[in-house]
Amino acid sequence: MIEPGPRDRFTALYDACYPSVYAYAVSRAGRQLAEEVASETFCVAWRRIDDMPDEALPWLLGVARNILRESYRADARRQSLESELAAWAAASEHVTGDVADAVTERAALLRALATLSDGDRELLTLVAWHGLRAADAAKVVGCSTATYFVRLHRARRRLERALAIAAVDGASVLPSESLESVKESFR
Amino acid sequence: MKKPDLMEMLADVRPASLTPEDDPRRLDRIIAAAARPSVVAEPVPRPGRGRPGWGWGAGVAAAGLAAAAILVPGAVGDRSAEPAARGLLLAAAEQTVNAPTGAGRYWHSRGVNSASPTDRTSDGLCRDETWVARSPKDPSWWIVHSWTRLGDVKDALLPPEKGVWSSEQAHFTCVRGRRAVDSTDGATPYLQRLDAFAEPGSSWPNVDGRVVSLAEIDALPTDPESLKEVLIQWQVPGVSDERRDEILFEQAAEMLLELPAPSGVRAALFRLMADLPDVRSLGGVRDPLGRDAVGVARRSSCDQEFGGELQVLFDKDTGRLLSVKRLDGERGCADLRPISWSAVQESGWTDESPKVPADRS
Repeated sequence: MIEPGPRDRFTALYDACYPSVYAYAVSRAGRQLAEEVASETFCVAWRRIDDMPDEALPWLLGVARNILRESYRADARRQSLESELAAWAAASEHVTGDVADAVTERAALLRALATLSDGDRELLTLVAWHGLRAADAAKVVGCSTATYFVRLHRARRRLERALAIAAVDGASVLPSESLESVKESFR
Repeated sequence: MKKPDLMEMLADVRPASLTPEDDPRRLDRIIAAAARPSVVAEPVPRPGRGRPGWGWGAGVAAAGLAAAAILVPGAVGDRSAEPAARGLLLAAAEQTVNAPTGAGRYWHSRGVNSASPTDRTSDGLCRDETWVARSPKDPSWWIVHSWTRLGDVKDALLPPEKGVWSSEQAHFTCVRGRRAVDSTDGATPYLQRLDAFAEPGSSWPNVDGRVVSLAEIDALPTDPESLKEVLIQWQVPGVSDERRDEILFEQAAEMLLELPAPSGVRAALFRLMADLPDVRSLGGVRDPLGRDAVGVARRSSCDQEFGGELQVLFDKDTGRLLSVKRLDGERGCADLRPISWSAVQESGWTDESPKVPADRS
């Protein structure tokens, strides 16, 4: 029999954090595995509700990260993730008209992101997509805040390079102001 | 108009597929699966996971198994630190166990720190003090007396337009152990409330991100196996044995560097490290402040993208912790380079109070 207290607390936690945990799982392993990973994460959370820190999200993402690493074969995760990355880029195709430039820019950035390593993509998206502060993102990946800043800086540079190469090659046409902003970030 | 930052641009292209579909019954399914005792108890081998399209129910069952394996603190493994490292650590434990713990209102430590990111120039050492209040009613402080100045990007990928890099990126930082603080103007002394960090979740003291109270530190067991169980409980669950050992080494180093653990607990931390696999001896070395030391080190994630090494340097005769040094690699452990170190100049309990301006106290 579940006591009402823990259940209420867990429900609040689920409502507040499930979308973020699911989003993290999609960005690391694709939609095909995300539901499973997110649900498994909350199973662990249910059993460890008393150990949960007040700032629960970094803890939950840390659990999801461990589940991904320990419970899934790397090739299965890669396969699912590749489908996801392809879907992000494809979602921006077949668009014409006034919004085409913006859509092209969006596709270029997502394609550049897709060329990065799994580790770089995680560092960038923890902050940009999952809304974590650097100190909390550091907790998720298990390093010091200082180390996180160093790694994030490198990852950001590699994303900039991937974007610049895409623009120079003409593989993706970036609006000039976007390229400027990329160059700006080197200064 | 301000040009968009790359991270802001990235935030703007967050794919819609990251948003989960509404499923009003999902929560009930999770709780039912998590509460199912058979899931936790049966030691079934891990199936070949990761087949796309599995129902999550099966996944939950498997996760229960993984969690069950994780939640039980591991027994002492067959492997421990290499003999030379083990000898150094057990000697340090012997020297530490009877050292006076001391008493007072504040745990005060004075230190020197260096941060040298591989891609920025850096200049100068951060000298700092840490004041951890015995009573939760008193504030705890981190006081920075001098900063490490971070300079220009060293190996940028595009050339600067006018041949020089802007100094706008230069700023000031202090990295102590696993905490870091930045300043844009480099003014000193800089005071940071440690128990009310601007960044939520960074409150102090903490061990590997887990907030702890001084009462908890005082109450830690002095038997290394029991201490290990507590530290594993403090870790984020779900890790492999290898990663668990890696975090244990981090936790022990952090506690020895930063926290007022009683001498019996400090001795147990040395013994705990002596029982960890892959800990190697650095032998006799000089610490970053030029003091005679002996050291042990442990590498981690060498087979992954980002490798690292943590070095713990201590006094051979007293077991007193002198410095902790961190190396980071971009190609596993093939290109490890020092990125930061923190040294302890003095530490102990005192009845003195930190000098804090009236408007901050």
